[in-house]
Order: sequence, then structure tokens, then C-alpha cells
Amino acid sequence: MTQLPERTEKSLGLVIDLDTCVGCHACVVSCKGWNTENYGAPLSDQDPYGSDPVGTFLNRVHSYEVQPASGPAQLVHFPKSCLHCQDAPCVTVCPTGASYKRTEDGIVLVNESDCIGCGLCAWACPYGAREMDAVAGVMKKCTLCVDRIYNTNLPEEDREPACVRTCPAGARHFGDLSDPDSAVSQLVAERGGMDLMPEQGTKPVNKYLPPRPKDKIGEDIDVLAPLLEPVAEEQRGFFSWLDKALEKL
Amino acid sequence: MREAGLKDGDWAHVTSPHGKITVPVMEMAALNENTVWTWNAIGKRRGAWALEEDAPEATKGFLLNHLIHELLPPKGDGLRWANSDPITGQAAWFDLKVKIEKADPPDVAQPDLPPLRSPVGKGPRVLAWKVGK
Repeated sequence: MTQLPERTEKSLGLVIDLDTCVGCHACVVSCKGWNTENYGAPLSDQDPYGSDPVGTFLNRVHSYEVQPASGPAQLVHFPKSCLHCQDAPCVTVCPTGASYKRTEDGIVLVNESDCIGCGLCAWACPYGAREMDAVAGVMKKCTLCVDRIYNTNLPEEDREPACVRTCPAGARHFGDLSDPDSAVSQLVAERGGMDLMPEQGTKPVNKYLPPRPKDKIGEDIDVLAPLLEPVAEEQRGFFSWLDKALEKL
Repeated sequence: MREAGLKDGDWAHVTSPHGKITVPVMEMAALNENTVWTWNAIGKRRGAWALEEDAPEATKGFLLNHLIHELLPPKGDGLRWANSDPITGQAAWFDLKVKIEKADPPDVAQPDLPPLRSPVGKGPRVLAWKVGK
């Protein structure tokens, strides 16, 4: 069985904002596009033009409709990918050492040449974040775009995961979550970022920011509302004169 | 939808002044109760886009275009105006009144037009896409 590192120098991961995600699937498409062409085997599709299309994805978005007993229903769009857990059960279950967690940045990766496609890691992952590729016969998972973030052939602004780079809503953030001063850590602290299923003891690195409560009509009056009240009862000044002059014409 | 006796997965006739389609429906609570909507682009005529004829785009997907005339009703100015947004050219879906009523599930979404002949054949059964490898 494969060992996890005792500690990692960094904990790179994603912070995903469930308040601003609109469920457009741009991250799904850019992830599939980048990762089919780059690190490891391509992400295959079975029967893509037929009656039962399925395929391998490293990132999927599921949408849920939350309907409270009273008040309006709300949609929550939930992007799901590998959470790069600190205590990753997919690594310790691997019989060949193909699954590993990097000591330098905490990214969980699969060495495809050592993967025998047994599927144990997919069973062990409580998040369903690993997918066996039916063509290559190896386990595929989010690499945090390891071939982008250190890639000096790319312009600096592109050195982040493809999903983060493409998100049109700015709902995805990438950074070092072990550094309490990093932008992502501050965002998590400010917005009450959550672990997914913490009871599983996996200590996920990725965090999710919960949807903000919705405004309700008639309850909270905007602090700026008093400033929008009309201040002058009678019209005065140049524009008043101009208005009157134009009306006479 | 509940008024029409419909629940998730049922099929419904959707009728406008211009046409009628028969399609699968689902309730969305987070929507104005007087509105229906769809992703128009997921419907494909059979044979289009190099899809197999039993692809879900053709069997369950559908187009609203059958409900919407391309032209506005005559205005008496001798011209027929396009039924589209004058600024963007976007098809005018947003002001179309429709009637919905429960339908017996057909084999495929209606209308079911004859398949198009694909000029490029059918897509591959397995796709493992890597350019240059």
C-alpha cells in the first residue's frame, strides 16, 4: 500500500464559490480540452454521437434545486473535482504506488505507467472524484493542471488550472491553502469556506464557499436608500432655468 | 405544470399560435410559475451534426423553432417584419404564449421530421482525442 507524505511544503488547491457559480460548464469544457491534450492519456468518450453517450471527465458540475418550506426555491450549481485531500484514502489504498501525493505542493497524481486499472482508488474516494478511462484502462483524476501551473512556456497569467483561468463568473480561485496569508486562505476565512464531508476524515484541501443568503423584499432596507431620497422640493439653479426655458419653446 | 396534471418525466403538448410540439417536461420550482423554458440548442434533427439517428438530441431533445414563426403578423405597411429582437437579431422566444397539456409519451419528441443525410457520415463510436498523436 502506498504511503502519504507526513507533511507537504505547500497545499495547492481550489476555492469554489457556490454563490457565484452559474453552472455554465465552461470549467468542465476547458478541463476536458486541456487534460485530453496534455498530461497522461486522453480523456475518452464512448458512443459520443449515439444513444447513450458517456465519457471521462476530471471535473463535473451538478445542479441542485433547493426548495425550502417557505420562501423561494434556489438553484445551487456544484462543481466537483478532486479535493487533493491531506489524508487521501485513494493514495493509501493503491497497491502499486501509482497514486501519490506530492511533498512539494500536495497535489495528488496518478503515475499512469504504474497504474494497473484495478479501480480500488475510485472505490476509496468518498467524493467520486476519480474516473477510469475506458480506452486507456488507467485511472484519471484532476491534476490541478500540474502541466500549466509551473509551465514557463505559458504566459504568467495562464499558469493556473484551466478551470480557474476560464471561469467567466470568477467563481474559482487557485492558491496555497497552507499559507494563512494567501488570497485563497483569506477568502476562505472571510466567507466561511467549508470542507466537503469532513466526517470522512480526509482533510480536503479544496474549499467551498457557501451561497450567501438571498435578499428579501421589505426586510432589510439598503443603507444607501436614504441617499436616494429627493433632496430639493423646488427646482433651482441652471438646469431648472434651462428646463423652464425649453418648456416655453 | 401541476395545473395541467404534469409531473417530472411526463410528456406534454406545447402549442403556440404557429405550431405544436410534444416533448418531455420537468418542474422547476425556482422559476416564475407562468414561464416555461428549455435549452433550444440541445435539440437536433435526426441525422444532423453527424449524430446517430437514435441520439438523445433527436429522440428527447426538441426545438422551439416549430412554435415560432419567422415573421411577425402583418402590420398593414406592406412589409413583413422579422420576428426577432431588433437590436441583437436573437429569435423572439421571450414573449411567446403557449398552452401546455398532458400527452401520451410518443416514441420520440414530436414533430419527428425525416432524417437529414449527413454530408460527413456519422461520428466515431469511441473518441480519444489527442491532436498530433
